[in-house]
This record gives sequence, structure tokens and C-alpha cells, in this order.
Amino acid sequence: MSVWDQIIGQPEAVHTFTRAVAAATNPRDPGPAMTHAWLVTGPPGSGRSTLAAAFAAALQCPAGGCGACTVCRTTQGGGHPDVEIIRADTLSYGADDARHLISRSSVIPTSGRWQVVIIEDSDRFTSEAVNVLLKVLEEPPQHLVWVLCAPSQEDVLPTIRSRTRSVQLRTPTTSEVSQALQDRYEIDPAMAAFAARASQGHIGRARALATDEGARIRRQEVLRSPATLRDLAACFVAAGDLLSAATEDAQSISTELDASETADIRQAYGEGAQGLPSSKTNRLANSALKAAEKTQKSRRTRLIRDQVDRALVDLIAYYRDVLILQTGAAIPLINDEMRAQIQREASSADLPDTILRWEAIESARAMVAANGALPLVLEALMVELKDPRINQRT
Amino acid sequence: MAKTFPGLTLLVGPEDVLIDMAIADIMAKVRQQHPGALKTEIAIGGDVDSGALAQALAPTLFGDVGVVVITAGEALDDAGVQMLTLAAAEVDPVNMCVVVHAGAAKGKKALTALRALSPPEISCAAMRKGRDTMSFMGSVMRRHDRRASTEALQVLYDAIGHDPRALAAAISQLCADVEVDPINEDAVRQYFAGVADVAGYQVADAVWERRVSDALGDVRWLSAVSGKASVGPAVTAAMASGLRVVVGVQGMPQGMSNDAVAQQVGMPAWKVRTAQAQARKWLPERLAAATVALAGLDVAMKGGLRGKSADPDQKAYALEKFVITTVGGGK
Ligand SMILES: [Zn+2]
Repeated sequence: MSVWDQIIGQPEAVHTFTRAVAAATNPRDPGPAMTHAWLVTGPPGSGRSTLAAAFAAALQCPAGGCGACTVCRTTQGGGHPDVEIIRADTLSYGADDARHLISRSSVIPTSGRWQVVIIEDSDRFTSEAVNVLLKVLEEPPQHLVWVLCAPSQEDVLPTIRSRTRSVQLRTPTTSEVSQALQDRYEIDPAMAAFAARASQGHIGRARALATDEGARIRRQEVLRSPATLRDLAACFVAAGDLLSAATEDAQSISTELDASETADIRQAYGEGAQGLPSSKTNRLANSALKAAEKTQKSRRTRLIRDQVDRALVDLIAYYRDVLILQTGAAIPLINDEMRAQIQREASSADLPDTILRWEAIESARAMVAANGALPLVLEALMVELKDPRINQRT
Repeated sequence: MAKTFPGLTLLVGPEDVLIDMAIADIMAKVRQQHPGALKTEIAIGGDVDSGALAQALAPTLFGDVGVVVITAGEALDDAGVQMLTLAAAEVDPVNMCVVVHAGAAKGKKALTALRALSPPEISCAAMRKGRDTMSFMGSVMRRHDRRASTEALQVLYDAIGHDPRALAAAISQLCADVEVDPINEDAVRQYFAGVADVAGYQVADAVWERRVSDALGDVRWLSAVSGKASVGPAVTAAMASGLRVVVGVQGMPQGMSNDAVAQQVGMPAWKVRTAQAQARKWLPERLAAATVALAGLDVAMKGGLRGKSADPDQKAYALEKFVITTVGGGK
């Protein structure tokens, strides 16, 4: 067992990080495979943050990432005192936030090993924040390791790119995801294959689809919506339905995350506190729980936006399938189980309209990312899916 | 000893609000001494001639004091001027004549003749934008026995614009609601910020009712009144919720009861009628296009797709453009 077991379909990245961990056993004198600043890039769902957390655990664990000890478990659960995980709760991360972060992370690690800072959405840093950060990246304190995550290299300012070592993740293949679902969660092969295909390589999504019937039903409903857009009122209803499906998806994800974080914190303060009076550990545990609650709350809001984006990606896959049937390309459908509806859409719509619809979904995704009001973005999208030429006509 | 009033006063110039104020001042002064003083207003011209004027100037049976306002004084003929000349010569006049004259070339002869009597003259000249308006605002303040800093007046002017009548109304509202004296800039901003909250919904109502010029006026007002914070996502949010109601109501089958519609759409029953009236003003296709445009506007208010902080002028402009292009035109 090891912390790397959780990483699916990223052998190259795991190789790079295990070499770094091996070279990092002495923080005073790390070997060349180790460095102070990393940039992990990969598409959503490829497991950027999981990988970053595994790396942090391996650096802290006395056994180099056994995956079983308290250190490994608390690190991966986000509860290790020397590992700070920054999630952008707001849409951008300003200079003041960056300064705070730097002053917090400059303290000597309590465990005597490394101080690790993981930034999950480096692409949301403002340029002022980047400038603050750059100074530290140029001359990092000896004990400090930065792991910056972003969807792609292009999302990060060149100045950051040039000062970090890059680890690029790829989208795991359908068969890798399917295999992982079978091995790890004992999903039967047919369901695993469906979930891997439907999630398009997004691991977390694949697991949700494979294990949660509610998630499967909600996905079905979203994909059925293009066939329901009879009139304007129906578009608004479809938009509302999509938003509530995404909200439920976000809720089930956050419930699970919250529960496991809370359990990790309890365990960390329960197990690792021999010798301390129980009143003190209780107090520490309580304040850790309170801090966790606060981040959980803001995470929930962000998760809804993420899940709306997921649903839009599902819709893009749907129109991609329509396009495949319209062009007669010999490629398997992502949503094969909906072939009948896709066939109807393919024969009733003309090809340029399908492309316009696809583009409308892409622009809705951009609006979601730009903090557009979710109901409004979705209402506008449904209107455009119903009538992709609405903009040309008025 | 009762003070005597001039038998003739000239109000020269076209600015209505100044004329109204001058007349109100005169009435107030007269009524201080003669609480029962009547105001008679006659407009010379058309079938109202100097005969009618003579009638108005004739002393009443009981010798009551009155104010006779002669509007459109540029139409006075020689006989009329003659009568007024007599009135002006009265030492203790029963009737106080107030002649309103636009001051332009038309009726110049009458004005020259009346001015020769050297009666008191109040200028009601058209206000030029800027300093004239500012001093007008100061005078309105004084009428309310209040003072305001120049900055406060400037904020007010930016908020309301040049229309003197609107300015006078806003000032009297402000004087009634704001206690701090002299009224300062902060007090004005604070007062209008509260108004701006409401204004978002006002814009939304005007938009979905397709009252384009009202909507534009509200937008202008909103962007001027409380600056940056006012034109923003709050306005698009107000419009989006209005839009949802209109679309919802439009989608309901004919003949459904108001209560049922209210329940289906999720709105109070008393609003259904208004919403239905709004819905009738829109073809579904225009409403659909408005939905797409509004979503774009909302993102623009938040700094656009690149998330830059938007310049307030740009935001106000985007909002105006939305109103003109989506709300204007035919059904
Ligand atoms: Zn371990």
C-alpha cells in the first residue's frame, strides 16, 4: 500500500514525484530530483489535487508515503499542520491573500521536515498576487515546498512557469478509469465501463456515476433536456432543472468530503495526542473542526459552479454524438445508451446548427467561469439550444 | 403700518420653474398681510384681450386684495399696457399685477413700455447648465431654510441632471428627509444609495414593460446617483427575476386563475395582472433574444469573460445599450 495507489493513469507524474521524495529525505540537503516549486497541470478530474496531496504526504511520512500511517492519512485529509491547501473560494486570489499565505508558510515546520503549500487553482491568482509570490519562488526558504496546480500551462503566467518544475497530467483513458473503478471500488465491469465512458476521463465524476444512482438519473435528465425545449417557458424550466441537478451533485460530493475531513481531524487529534491532557486536544480538535467547517461552506458554493460546468461538458458530449451521427463518422458514441434520442436530433437538425449549439455551450462554460449568474447563464443557453440562430435574427 | 406692495412686478424670462417660484414668493409675501388674498391668472392672447384684463383689475365689491398674474405678457396690446401703467402708479394698490414676459423679441414693445415704469423686475432667464443651475439649487435650498455644501449640490446635480423642476423636487425631498445641516456630500450619497436599491427594480419594471425612455432615465439616474456600486450585477439580477416572471406567465395556458398562475410561476397573486400586461408586450422570440442579451450583460457587469474589473462608465454604457437594443423597437 502507498499514497500513490490513488493516482489513476499518471505513471510519469508518479515517477517524477517518487524520485523527488527519495531525494528529499534530508531537507537540509535535497538531491537534484527535488525542488522547491512545482507546477502540476492537467484537465479537471485528472487528479491534480489528489496527486499534490499524495506528494505532500510522501514528503511528510517517515516511510516516504506508506499510505497507512497517521501522517499520510491526515495529510491527504487536509489536516496536517505543516501542509496548507489553498482552494480559491473566491474567483481570484489577491496580493493580500498571497502575503498572508507567505507569512504563514515561513514558519519552521512543527514536524521538522517540510512545510508544504498546495495551491489548487493557481490560475485564479491575480497578477499582483503572482508578483508577491514570485519573490518567494525566487528565493524559497529551505524548508518550504510549493505545489501549484492549474488546468494547463497557458493558465499560469510565464513568470511562474519559468520558476517552477512542471508535471503534466493527462486525461486518463476510459479503460484506465474503468479498471480503477473495478479494482478500487469493486464496481462491476459493465457499470465501470459506462461510468468511465460517460465521465470522459474525470475520475471523481466516474466514481459518482458508478456508485450513486441519483447521479446517474440526474445526468440522464440533463441529457434529455435538449429534447424538451418546445417553447421559451420550457427553456426556463430546463435551465432550472439543470441547476438543481448540479446542486444535488454538489451536495452529495460535499457531504462526502466534509465527512471524511471531519473524521480525519478527529482521528488526528485522537490518535496522535498521547501525552497531552485531553482538555487541550479537545480544544485543538474543536478549533480545527471549526476552521474546516468554514472552508467547507465556501467549497459548497464553488462545487455547484463546478458541477454546472460538469453538466455542460456532458451536454457538449451529447452534441458531439449528434455531430458524429450527422457526419457519419465511424466513432463510438459517448452516450450510446441514448442513441435513439441522439438519432432523432441528428436527423431533425442541420449540421451548422449543431455546431452553433456546441459553441453556445462552450460560451456558457466561459460565462460560468467568469462568475455569471448561474440561472441566467443556463436560461440563455437553453434559449440558444432551442434556437441557435437567435442572435443572428435580432 | 401695513407695508405696501408694488402695483406691478415684471417676471422676465422663459424658465417655468423660476416663474413658479417667483409667483409663489409674491403670494407668500402678500398673504402674510392679507391672508385671504386671491390669485387670478389670466393669459393674454386668443380671445382673452384687454377687456378681460380690465375686468380682472376692477376692484371687488369688498375691496379685497388680490394678485393678478398676467401670463403671456408678450401679447399685451397698447390698451393693456395702458391699464397696467395705471396699476403701477397706485400708491396702495388693491390689485398687485404680475406680468410674465418671455423676454424675447416677441412683444418687445410692451416690455419696453412696462420697464419704463421701473417696476421691480425678477429675472426668470433660461438657466444655463452648470453655474446657473448650481446657484438655482442654492436658492432652492434657501427657500427651504437649509444650506448645503457645494460638493453636495454637485453630487445632486450629477444625480438628477439639468432639469430644474426635477432638481427642485429632489431638493425638497432631501430637505424633508435629511437632518444634517448644512447638508453635506455624504448625506446626499447616503440618501440616494437607498434610492438606488429601489431603482434596480424600477429599471427592471420599466424594461419588461417596455417603457424605453423611463428605463433609460432610471439607468442614467442610477449610474449618477451612487456611482460605481449602483450599476452592476444587482440591476441585472433584478431584471433576471423580472424576466423569469414574464416568461413564466407567458407560458401559462389561457384562462388559468390568477392564484394558479401565481403558484405555478412562484409570485404573489397581486402581481399576476401586471406580469400578464408585461407578457403581452413581448413576442416570445424577442423575449428569448433578451434572455441571451441579459446573460451577456450580467457577465459584462462582472468584468467580462476575462474578469477584469469593469470601468463604471463602460458598465453604464453596456446597460444603456441593452435597454435600447432589447427593449426598444416593435413587439
Ligand atoms: Zn505514511
